[in-house]
Order: sequence, then C-alpha cells, then structure tokens
Amino acid sequence: MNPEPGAAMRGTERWLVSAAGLLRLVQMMPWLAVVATGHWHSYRSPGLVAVLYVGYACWAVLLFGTGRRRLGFSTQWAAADVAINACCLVIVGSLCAPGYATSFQNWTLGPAMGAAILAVIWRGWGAGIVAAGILSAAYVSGTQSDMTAVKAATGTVIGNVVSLAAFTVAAGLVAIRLRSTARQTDLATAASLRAQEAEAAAEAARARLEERVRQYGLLHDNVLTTLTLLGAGAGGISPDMRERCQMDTTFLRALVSAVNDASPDGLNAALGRVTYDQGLLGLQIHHSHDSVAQDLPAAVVEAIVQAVKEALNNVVKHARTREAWVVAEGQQNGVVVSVADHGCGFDPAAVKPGLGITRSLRDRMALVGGEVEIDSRVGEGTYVEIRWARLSPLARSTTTACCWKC
Amino acid sequence: MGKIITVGAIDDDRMLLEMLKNWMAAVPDIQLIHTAATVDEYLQLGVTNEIVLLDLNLKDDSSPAENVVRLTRLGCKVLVVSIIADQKYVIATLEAGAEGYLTKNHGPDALVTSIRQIATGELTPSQELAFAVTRDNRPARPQLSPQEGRLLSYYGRGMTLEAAARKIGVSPRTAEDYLNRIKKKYEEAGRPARTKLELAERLREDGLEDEPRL
Repeated sequence: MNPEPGAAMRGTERWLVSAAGLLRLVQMMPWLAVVATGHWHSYRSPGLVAVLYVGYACWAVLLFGTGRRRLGFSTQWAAADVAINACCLVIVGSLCAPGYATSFQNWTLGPAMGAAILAVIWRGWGAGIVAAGILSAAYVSGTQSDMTAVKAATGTVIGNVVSLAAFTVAAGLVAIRLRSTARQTDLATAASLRAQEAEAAAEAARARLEERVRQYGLLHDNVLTTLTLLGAGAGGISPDMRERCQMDTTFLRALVSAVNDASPDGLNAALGRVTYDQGLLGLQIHHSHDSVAQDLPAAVVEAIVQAVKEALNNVVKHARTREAWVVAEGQQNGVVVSVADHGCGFDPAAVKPGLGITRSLRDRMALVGGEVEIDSRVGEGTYVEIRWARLSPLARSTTTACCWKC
Repeated sequence: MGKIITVGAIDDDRMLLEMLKNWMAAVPDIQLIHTAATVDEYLQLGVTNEIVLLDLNLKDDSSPAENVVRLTRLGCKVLVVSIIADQKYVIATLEAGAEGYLTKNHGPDALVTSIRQIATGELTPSQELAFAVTRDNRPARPQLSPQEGRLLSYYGRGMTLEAAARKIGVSPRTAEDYLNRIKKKYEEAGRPARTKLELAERLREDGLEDEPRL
C-alpha cells in the first residue's frame, strides 16, 4: 500500500534524523560546564561519571551515524537507546552527591528526553509512551535519594517528568505534520508528472490524428475523386473495371469519412471493410455513420460486424436487389447499426420462429448483450436493426459475467 | 412528359462535368447545357430558372450555403452533390434553400430520377440527407414532432418510405407529407440567414460589396 517514498519524504526523513542528532548534542552540552568550572564535588565518583559521559557520547555518535545512513531508526536501535539512557539515569543519578541529582550536574535527563523523542518519531505513539514511561521511572529511581534528602527536589522531579512527557508528545505531533506535508508534496509532484505524461500522450495522439486528416484530405481530393468518376462510368472503361472502382470508392469513402470520428480502428473502419468485401460480391452499399464511440469493446465490434455481414449476405441471397444501406449511429450509451435494402422483402409470418437467419443474428448479438430487430413485408424491403448499449452502473454491478472492457 | 428539362452543373472537376454531359445526352427529356467550375462563372452565363447540380465544396472555397442562395435568387432549383456527405454543410445547404442532396456514387439513374422529381416539384429526400437531418444536434435546430423524428430516423437508415410509414403507423401519403413538412421547417429555420445572404448578394451586384452594412 505504501508507495515508494518520494523526494520530499526522503528529504524530510533525513532532516528529522539530523534534527534529532543536533538535539541530542545540545542536550549533552550543559555538562561541559561542569568540566569547565570544575564542579567535581557534585559527584560521589566523578571519574565514573566522566567515563559514562564519554561512553554515552560514543553511543550517540554510533546511533546517529547509523540513523543517517538508514534514514531512520529500527525498533532495536530505539530500544537500545532507551535502555542505555535508562541505565545512565539510574547510575549517574545515584552517583550524584545529595542534592545534585535534580540539578544540571546530572547530565542524563536532557539526552533521556532525546531518547523518548527518537522513539515517538520513528517507532510511533506506542513506543513513545513506553519509552517515556521507562525513562521517567528510571529518572525517578535515580533521583530517589535527592527526594528523600531535599524537600524541593520532589517538585523538580515531577516538573521534569511532565516536561519529558510533553516534549515526547510535541515531537510526535511535529513529526506527523512534517511527514504529512512531505507526503502531500510527493503526491502533488507525482500527479503533476502524470498529468504531464498524459498531456504529452494526448499531444502525440492529436499530432497523429492531424497527420491522418491531412493524408485523408489528399486521398479525398485526388484518389477518391478519380475512383468515383471511374466507378460512375467516366473514361469508358469496361463494366468489370467500373464495378471494381465503385467498390474501392465505397471502401475509401468509409475510411476517409471515418477519420472525422477520430479512429481508423473502430466500428466505422470495420464496417468499411465489410462493405468492401460485400462489394466484391456485387452489392452496392451506402455506408453512413455519425458519432460512433471509439471505445466499444472489441467483442462488441466483432459481433456487430459479423451480424452486419450476415444481414448483407441475406440481401445478396434473398432480396433481389444490388443496393443496400449500412448506417451506424452513436447513441448516448451505445450504438445502433442498421442494414436496409429496398428489395423484395418477405413475409415474417411465413418464416418459422427460431429458425435460420434471424436466430443466428439474434444469438450472436445476445452473447454480447445486444439486440436485433428485423422488419420486413413483401415488396417493402428488409430492415435489420442491431442495438447495443452499455449496461447502466447499477445493472453492471449485479451482472457477474460480461465482456465489458475485456 | 414531353417537356424538356434544362439542367446546369457547377463542379470544379472537368472530368465529372464531361461525364454528366455524356450521361444526360442519353436521356431524351433532360438537356445539360451550362457547365461551370464556380458559381461566379455560372452566373456570368446569365442563366435563370434552371435545375442546377452544385458540388458541395468547390475549390474556390466559397461557402456552400452562400452558393445555394446565389443560385436560388435567380429562380434556380439546386440539387447539391458531393463525394462525402459532410453533415454540417449538407444541413447548411438545406437551410439555404437547396432542393435536395445526393452523394456522387449514385449512378445516372438516381440522378435522372432526382432531376425529374425536382422538375415536377416532388423530390423525395435522399437517405443521406435524411440521415444528416436526424443527426442534427445543434441547439437551434428546427423542432421535429416525435412522429416526424421517428419517420425520418427509419428513412435515414435506408428503410423504404412505405416501410418507414408502416413502422410509425401512417400511410405512405402521410409520410411524404411529413418529409415535406420537415424540409419546410429547415427552409423556415434558414430564412434569417438566407435573407442576410441575399442582401449581401444584392449589394454585391450593385457594386457595393466592400462593406455590406447589415
């Protein structure tokens, strides 16, 4: 579910590690005043406190060095940090002379806050609460002797424990805010990148279409015009040749006018090829179309094309005419394709239901969710209407098997 | 019949004009005399009251609707022809007062039939024209009654007029009336634009064509 972190997120993580490291450094600084001013009398064992401090500094360098490399802290590293700080709180606190465990001479409190902050930022709220609890307990335990010896010490300890909790919560909130800003920045960047890519693709498609329109314009101006004339009988060519020209004209006309509907691959072009093939069988076909969707499912286009072919075959076989009309109309949510002729027609009552042509036409379209209507009377030609519509969203959700967008 | 129908043709394709002449030479009651490459050229011949076959998109980039208006002003009846039924322009010529529309792939028979029908004033619209009208989706298009719309839709899909009439439950005679009514509606809808074009044309004739103030 988590996407690859973007540039902004990586930058934020790096910044958080640096900030936590800098915070830890600052939290360790005040003790240097003890060194500078020689307040060694604050400790029962000054040498051990100094060794612990140096050892702790080494740990801090190791911890943040690793954190910077890995852009964060694993649970193990955060737990180790909390454990080391808790030990320091207990040991250094008990090494302080009476009255000094709650003063700045006890250097462990500041870094311990840093450990709780690290836990909440990189291991979440649960880890932050546990860390703050452990560290508070360790702090209280380390300052036990002070609190029994000095009255005011208890108030100081309570105040520091509250501060530790407050800083932990504040750090957690800041981290959430920073990361969410970074995530949004990354999302916005990715979105604009996608938009640019889409724009480039659309631009390329426009360029291709323009080129096609230009080429088809040329085809229209010369090739189609010449073919139309030859097909109509100009130039005194043989009847066979004339018929051939007529067919090529029909095909080319379908192609050239299909360009206005933006794709040479859709239903219009497929119907253009069908009318061409039927033309070879000696049928003159008038092909018109308007606003046919380009994203019809391939199975639907195929079914419609086959149905049209069958209807045209029937014209050739039964209608006793050599002329037919194929019309494709885009509808709001689908398409209507009709095949009509002005031939002899037939009496529908004389055709047994469920037999022959009508049956296979209907079955073919029913498979893709379409319908076929056939109308004819003796002497009034035959009309076949093929309809297909996208299912409404409601109907689609209750339909399991469908060739939708396959 | 007996009466000779005189016909003119305007097309930038010389070969097509020659072919038309050959075709019409074989038809006793139709005489194709005047041919021209542009409407300007045709008007210079000084012909009036003829049936004119007009190419939809002429090479001189003249407006199809304007061409129709200029010809009908002289009493000519215009049959528009083209290779591809560019619906927008076909509708525009209908509103400009053209009698009908045919694609050029129809053979001589369809053309001769149409010319004779125009001469007697009873031209049935072609399937291409009906289809273009059914697909007219301009906001300001003439409003057809539901029955007219259904008839036109079936007819525009290539149905015979008899079958289309039966489908909507009227007689073929009534269906024909519907078609004429639809054509009238388009002529009516085109009247304001036509008046403007006619005015511009009159000014042009008067030599004031530089800036027709309308």
